[in-house]
Amino acid sequence: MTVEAKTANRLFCKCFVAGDVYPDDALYIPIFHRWIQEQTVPGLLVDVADYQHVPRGPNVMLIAHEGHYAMDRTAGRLGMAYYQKRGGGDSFEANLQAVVSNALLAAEQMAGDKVFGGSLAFRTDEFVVGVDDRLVAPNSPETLDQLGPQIQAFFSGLLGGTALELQVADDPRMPFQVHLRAEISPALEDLRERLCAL
Amino acid sequence: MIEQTWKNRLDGKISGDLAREIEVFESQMAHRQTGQLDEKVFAETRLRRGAYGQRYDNGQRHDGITKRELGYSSSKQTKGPDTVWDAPGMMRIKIPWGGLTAEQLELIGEIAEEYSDRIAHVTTRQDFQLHFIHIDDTPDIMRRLAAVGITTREACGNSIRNVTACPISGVCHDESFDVTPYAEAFKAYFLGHPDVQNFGRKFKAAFSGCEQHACGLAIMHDMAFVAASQTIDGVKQRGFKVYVGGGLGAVPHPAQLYEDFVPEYEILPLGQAMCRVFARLGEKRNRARARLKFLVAKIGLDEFKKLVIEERAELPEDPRWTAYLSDLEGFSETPMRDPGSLSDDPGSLDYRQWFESNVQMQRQEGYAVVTIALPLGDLTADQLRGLADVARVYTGDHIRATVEQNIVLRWVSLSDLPALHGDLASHDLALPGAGTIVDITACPGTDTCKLGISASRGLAAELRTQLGAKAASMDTAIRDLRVKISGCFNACGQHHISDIGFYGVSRKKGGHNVPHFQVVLGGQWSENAKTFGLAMGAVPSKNIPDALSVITERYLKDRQGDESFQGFVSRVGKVEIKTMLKDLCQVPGYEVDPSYYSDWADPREYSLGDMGVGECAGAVVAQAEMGLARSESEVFEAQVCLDKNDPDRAAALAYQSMLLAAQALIREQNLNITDEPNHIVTEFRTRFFDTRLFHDPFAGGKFANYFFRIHDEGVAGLSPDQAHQRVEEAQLFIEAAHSCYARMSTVAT
Repeated sequence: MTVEAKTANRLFCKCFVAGDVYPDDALYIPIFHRWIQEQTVPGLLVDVADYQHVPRGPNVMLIAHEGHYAMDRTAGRLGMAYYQKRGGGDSFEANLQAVVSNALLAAEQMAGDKVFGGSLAFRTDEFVVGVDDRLVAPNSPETLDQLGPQIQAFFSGLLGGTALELQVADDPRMPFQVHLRAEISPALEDLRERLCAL
Repeated sequence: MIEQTWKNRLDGKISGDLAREIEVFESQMAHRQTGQLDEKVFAETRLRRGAYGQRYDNGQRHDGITKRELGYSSSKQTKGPDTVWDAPGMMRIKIPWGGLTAEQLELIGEIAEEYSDRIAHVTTRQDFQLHFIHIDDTPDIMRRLAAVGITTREACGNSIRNVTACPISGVCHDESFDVTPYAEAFKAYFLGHPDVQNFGRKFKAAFSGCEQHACGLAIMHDMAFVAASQTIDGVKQRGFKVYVGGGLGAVPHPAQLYEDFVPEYEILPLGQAMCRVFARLGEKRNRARARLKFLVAKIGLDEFKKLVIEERAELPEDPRWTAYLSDLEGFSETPMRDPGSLSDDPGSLDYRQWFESNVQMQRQEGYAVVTIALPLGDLTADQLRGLADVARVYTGDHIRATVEQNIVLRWVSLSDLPALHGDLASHDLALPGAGTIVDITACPGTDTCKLGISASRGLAAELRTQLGAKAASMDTAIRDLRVKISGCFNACGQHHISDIGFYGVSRKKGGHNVPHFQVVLGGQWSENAKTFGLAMGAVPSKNIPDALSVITERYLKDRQGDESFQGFVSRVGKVEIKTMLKDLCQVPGYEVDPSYYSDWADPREYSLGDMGVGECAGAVVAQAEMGLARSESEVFEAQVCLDKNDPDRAAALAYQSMLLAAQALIREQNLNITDEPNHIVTEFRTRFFDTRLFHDPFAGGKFANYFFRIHDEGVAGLSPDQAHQRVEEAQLFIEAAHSCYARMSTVAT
């Protein structure tokens, strides 16, 4: 089975918080609730799930019908993640663009929240993207061969053609995912603008 | 090219019956979406497949300012009364007696990642639960679970729920014997059994290896078996002390002793007879009084026993009652590693603390049981994979979920303990404090439960944080207390049977709702949850941590000698305890401190507006209706086969659908009806055709004759046209069965 034969829609993207001093995780809970009230990010926003008690997990999650946003601590690093669950476009690239767009928008909104007074920032030189669908995209060399170039091309376009370093998780039981590192770090709003232009 | 689906991928890896059941469920989903299946019947159908409702699934949510419609595009399509199709739900994964393999842990992790919110949750009945699941994903989830030997069947709904058992049975020092194979046999016998399909409410069963410990919690169960032995004619014989009619909930009842000793060969028929009595006489209309405990209380234990004995005498012999007994030895566990001894090196402080609370010596020398304490019962997919790896190295598949929302590893060689601790720590699974005051049990509460009144998980997380900070310096008298929290009076957090329990209630102050918890003190966890605690008064949610401090400090200060907490509560008395808590019961005005008007980890102004109707106590759907719905799914499948140009299978399914419809009607009169076609046809002829009960006012016995003819002719070698006719005839027969059932119901009422 190839991803071409059936387009994966359970994609995810995570961008990491910059620096190593982070705000109290509890602060994300009222912010996510406010996002529901004000419909700050795309999707049918349903509820907030608090998993601060689980180390290296989704931490604080904004549950939505189409996918979940999270100030996520998976693998021990804090970042804004978007986990798409359903819907999406009819091509892998369209889905990837939508998922990255949602993650970046959420990161931008979170960083701009007045609660943090400008102290929270996100890196734009490092991302994790992947597919939570072992049927169409198991974590295998074949999936990497197939999706790796598309992911690389997408991020290369997004980051202005800069060289990218790709790293994949080596445990075949894990979801297929690629850790990307770039040498440049554009402003978050610039990235969002470029994404809209893609 | 064959479309790649989980159904195709797992073809041949799922047992035939289970694969078929999931296919039927899938076709019932299609039926519901086209409106051919009543929403009430579909709701009970999906509940019996473990697909449960969740908060906000009525498509509405109070966002802290106002109640808003959640704009699902399918808002008019429902999966149950007032339950929107697209709204997320909960999937309960049944883990009989909590037994798990490494492969199963990995699979649950995969499912949590792909379909849920990346968290798997261990429940107070040794199940797993996943939240925020879309109903459309449930057949694939069921298939993937089935491929590793797990069924979600009857995880919810009005049937026998997960059979629980002591997680250390077989390795415990002072048990009578290992109850695990008996719990497994009980599960296998009753799963999908016709006699457990017609209850007015759920039914919980448990097995305990002894009387003295808590593990089996016998006293809070509808039916419980406590291992016992007797010497009869010089031969030591295994059996069980049997309890009935227990339950928590709003009206807790301790189970009553039914029989001092029931021989092992008699437990399944006894259970079956009890189930028949419950199905026949248990309340069906008033859901609040439909559990077995109310029936036993209403008619009295003696009368209940008399009815059960009569029913037992009528049961047709079943070889499965005793077949498993010859294979009891096959259930013994083989350790992966040689027995070891404890190291002379005391290890780090972390290790010592963990060892003290989380390690329990086994009866078998050189081995220990290790408890993995899971905060609020939650763990991630990465942790599940990590735990699977750890188990494969140290213990193999000797893994069990516990009713305290933890996981235990059995058969850990003592010399492996330091390395095991290190490996668990690398996955954040080496938290100390298992079985102590910081190891708090909590139901989902307002996080995801439709019935939740207060944030049980929010409170549990807060207490865990506060208590964890001082656990190391705590007096053991306090440290060893248990705290359990429920989001409402229904007691899924088992607050009645802890030293200190809380359950969610609401109070009004100045026109605003204020989240509170009722304080319940003095429940007894040990001796199979021997006694239930007493409510002492409602305290605002935000004051509960202070209330806990006041209670525990007073206990520490005033306890007499080695006085237990239960003894202290009993001696000090309710009046004095209420006085102790009096100041903490005060709620400041909304303008003075608005934080009291929000619940833990939820900044929205507290509201009861999000409560819904619990599916746990949903509508009763008669067994006949469920059977007829199943027959409709079969005939629907037959039509699909016709479309796929498979007349042989279409004809076979059409015949099968008629058998199911006939069987559903017969079961209304004869509980002993089997699955055997000749038996069904004979019984149907005698009870429904000869009596003209089935006869249509206009068509007479025409539709019944279709059934008899098809039974006589068989289904092989039919042309496509003949198969088509069979499907049409089956459809008409099922319609006639519905009409017949409607007439029977009218007469009955």
